[in-house]
Amino acid sequence: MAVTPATSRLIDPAVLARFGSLELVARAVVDGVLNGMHRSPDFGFSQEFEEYRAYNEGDDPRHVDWNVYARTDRAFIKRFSGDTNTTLTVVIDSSASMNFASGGLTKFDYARYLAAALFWLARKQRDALALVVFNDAVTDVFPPSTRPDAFQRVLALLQRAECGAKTDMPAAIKQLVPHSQRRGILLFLSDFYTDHATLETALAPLVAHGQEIAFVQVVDPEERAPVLQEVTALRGLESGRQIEVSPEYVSGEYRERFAAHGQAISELAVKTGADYVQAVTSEPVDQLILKYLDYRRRSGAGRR
Amino acid sequence: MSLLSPLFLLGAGLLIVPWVLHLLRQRNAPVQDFPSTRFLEHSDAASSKSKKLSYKKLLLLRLLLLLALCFVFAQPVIRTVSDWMGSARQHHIIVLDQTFSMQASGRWQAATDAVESLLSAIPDAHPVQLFGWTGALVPLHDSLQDRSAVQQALASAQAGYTQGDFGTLMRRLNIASADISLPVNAYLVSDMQASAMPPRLNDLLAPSIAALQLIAVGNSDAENRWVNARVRSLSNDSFAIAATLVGPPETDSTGTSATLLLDGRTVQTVPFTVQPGTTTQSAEFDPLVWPVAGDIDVYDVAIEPQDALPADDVRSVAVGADEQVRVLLTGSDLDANSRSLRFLQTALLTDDRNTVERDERLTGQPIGDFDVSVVHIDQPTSGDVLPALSQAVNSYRLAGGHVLAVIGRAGDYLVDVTVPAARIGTVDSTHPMRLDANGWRSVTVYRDVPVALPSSTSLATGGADQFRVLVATEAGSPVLIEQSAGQAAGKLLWLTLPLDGDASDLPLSPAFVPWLHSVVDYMVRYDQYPQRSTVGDTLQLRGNTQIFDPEGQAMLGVSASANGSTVSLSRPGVYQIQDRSGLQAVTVLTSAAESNLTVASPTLLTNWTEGIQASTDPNAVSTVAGQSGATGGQSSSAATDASATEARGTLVNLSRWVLLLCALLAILEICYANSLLWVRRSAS
Repeated sequence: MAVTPATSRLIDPAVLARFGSLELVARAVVDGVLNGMHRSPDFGFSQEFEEYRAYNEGDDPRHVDWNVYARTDRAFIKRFSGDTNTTLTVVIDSSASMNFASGGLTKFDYARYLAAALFWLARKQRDALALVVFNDAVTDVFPPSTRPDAFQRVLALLQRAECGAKTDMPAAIKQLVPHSQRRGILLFLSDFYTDHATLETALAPLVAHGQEIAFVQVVDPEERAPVLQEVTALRGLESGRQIEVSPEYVSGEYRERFAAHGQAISELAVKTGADYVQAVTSEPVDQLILKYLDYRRRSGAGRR
Repeated sequence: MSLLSPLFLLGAGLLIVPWVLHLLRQRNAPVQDFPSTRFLEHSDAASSKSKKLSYKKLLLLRLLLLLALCFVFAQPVIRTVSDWMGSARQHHIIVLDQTFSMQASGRWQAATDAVESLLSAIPDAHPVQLFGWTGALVPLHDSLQDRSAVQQALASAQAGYTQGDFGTLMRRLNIASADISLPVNAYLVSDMQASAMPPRLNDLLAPSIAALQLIAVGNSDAENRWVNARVRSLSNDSFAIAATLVGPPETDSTGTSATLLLDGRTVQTVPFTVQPGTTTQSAEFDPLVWPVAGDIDVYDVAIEPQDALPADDVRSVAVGADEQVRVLLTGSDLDANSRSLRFLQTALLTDDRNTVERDERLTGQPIGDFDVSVVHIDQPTSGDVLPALSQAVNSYRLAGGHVLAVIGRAGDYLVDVTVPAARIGTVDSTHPMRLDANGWRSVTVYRDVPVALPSSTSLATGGADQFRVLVATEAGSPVLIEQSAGQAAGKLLWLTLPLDGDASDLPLSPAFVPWLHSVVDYMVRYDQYPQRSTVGDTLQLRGNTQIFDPEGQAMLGVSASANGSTVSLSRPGVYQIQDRSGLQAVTVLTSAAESNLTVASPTLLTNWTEGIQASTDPNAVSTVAGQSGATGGQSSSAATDASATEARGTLVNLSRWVLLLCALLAILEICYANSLLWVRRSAS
């Protein structure tokens, strides 16, 4: 029997771009993710009973054990193992640099597809969904919610988000801190063109609050390894500045500098106890999610 | 390929302009968006700028475009025989020269090889006609599309003995091409003989022909000699044959001899010698005996060794017993007319067939056994001499004798008139003597000549004589009159001018000797067939006549022989005609013009083809084939030249095609440059 490689089920990002609807994108990606799993991920929904706890305002009434309420006249929530009931907060960078595309898909589009797919997975295990869009400041916020329409609303917000000004990630994080009182997963989708030290300082309150942080560095293939045929003036999308560079430079020193940039983010992630994944826009989204989930399983994240 | 205006290629220097522009363009680097300039540093790339050109494909397109434009102005032309550019169909007419000169060694083989090369070069889809040129344009096959028929016709074609001139050829070719809808490409495969050229270049034009290619297969250094032979009567019993060698003046004839053959057997061999005081080389054979009456002996005179054209190295001579014409010069006062008699006798003896006797016949004795009598009639000096002479002449004429009467001073039996000083104005061109061809119109009467016209009493036959004025002056005075007196009587001509050289220039003019010969022929041989003719002439035979070719084969069937027919004299030699009056020989000769193998100059051929070019489509330029290097007996050299004809041919101007290429390149350049511009705009 022929074995079909896992990558054959993956969906090319350019194909995802034709879907138009983020919900369809998310569903397609998650289907690919679930089909590619060898066993149920941590995000999988479990029906094994774990405990009762008192009902608090804001809990989903569907989880109230009405039998206990009939006998005791008190409302208890029935909890199961695997039902972490955490909050997935996607912090997505909408700066001008994210609007770059060497192919048909911009980095921002890729980040949106990735966020939509993760929101789909989170909704399946009834996690609260939250979205923060920022560039030099926070431009849109969707607070954590487990409401049934949270998924559609967060996708709508993602859909209308547009790339704008320069990146100021530390400033955006400072604005984000008051909205992150609830523990959960903070997933940063950005190219991280920011000062690393300042970023580390800005992240400190979140780390101290016990947030589980993940860095996804969205990178365009041409950005990572540009190829020029001649001396070319490269114009920065955020600064508008033009710099003439030679093919020799971009194929040599630039790549070293960019690799060092990725390495610095990775080291920052280690310092802050965050996960780090580099997402190349030519890579299938579902493959990236699989890689990320596998990374979380091996690193023991999610069981902390 | 060649260029009509090669100086325009200097414009190719403009190619440096786009080259420099593309180099300068390199100084402005293309702009491209990039996510962040955080890790970028300005590169010092001056060295790489100087090495590389930007937009190489675009530069290549532009260079090609400029180069093509230069070629458009330089007007490239290509020479081809075949259907150039493989485009429109053309009608190809190949004319193969089959005249006598093509029998010269090497020429015919070279010509057929050249035609075969042409046939292989012409596309199969094009109609081809092969004509033979024998003095007439003769189609050699029927089907225009069947190349095998053309090949068979070529294989069976042979060079003939006829004469042709290119003026007539081009007129016929123009007529043959007039009704052809396709453009006509004509090819003339010929030795381009100089003697076949018409006197006027305009005679060589043929507006119906789109292009003419001359393929010369004649060698310019070919020399040829030929022989003429004539019979000279020595007496009533014997004659002699004299041969004359004709050819280029510089020809060395040392060791050349003449051989006389009868029925294929050698009779005598005599070396040619130069006659004292002349450059004529002649040889005279020993006297021979006349054949018996009614019989004809055919002698062949051949020169040895043979040269490039052996067919004209042999001349046939027909000798018959009744060849001689006896002429009597008589008159009433021969002493007074001595100058006239001298002129007449000299002119008559230029024809070897004539024998002349002088006799005053003053006593009126019968004229006797003479074919023609030339009678001088003057004012009588004594007694009744004139009436006696008149009676003798009348008797002679009524017995069938022919008389040319030359009138001197008037007598009382003549009607007095005066012929005023004037030029000849009227010549009867319908008379069998062909007076218009004899140059009579150039004769001038110097002074008023009082002469007498024949009256009814003069030399009258007693019947209803009729007078016909054959020649008259501009004032209308009769000069030559024919008096007819029924079929039984002999012919009588009156010349009203004295032949003393004072009254007119007739005896001194070029018209005199031919006219006198035509008088004798008209009087004696009027009912006979011509004794000499040229190959290609036709002969109208009367009924109950048979003609035998030089091989002795009868040429007419029973019906044609009984009813009369027209036969073509297609080869040299002696044709013999048998009718009720006996046997007569017609000696058919090849044209001396065809024996002259000198070829036309390249300048003349150039003028010919340039004339065709000017009279037809300017795009169908013609050219002149160079002279073939074929020499006598070197057929391989001729074949080489024939194959070389493929390199000659119609010049086709390629400017329009290069212009089309320019347009195509321009469109490509625009599209490609626009695509680059679009990329740049998108990037910006």
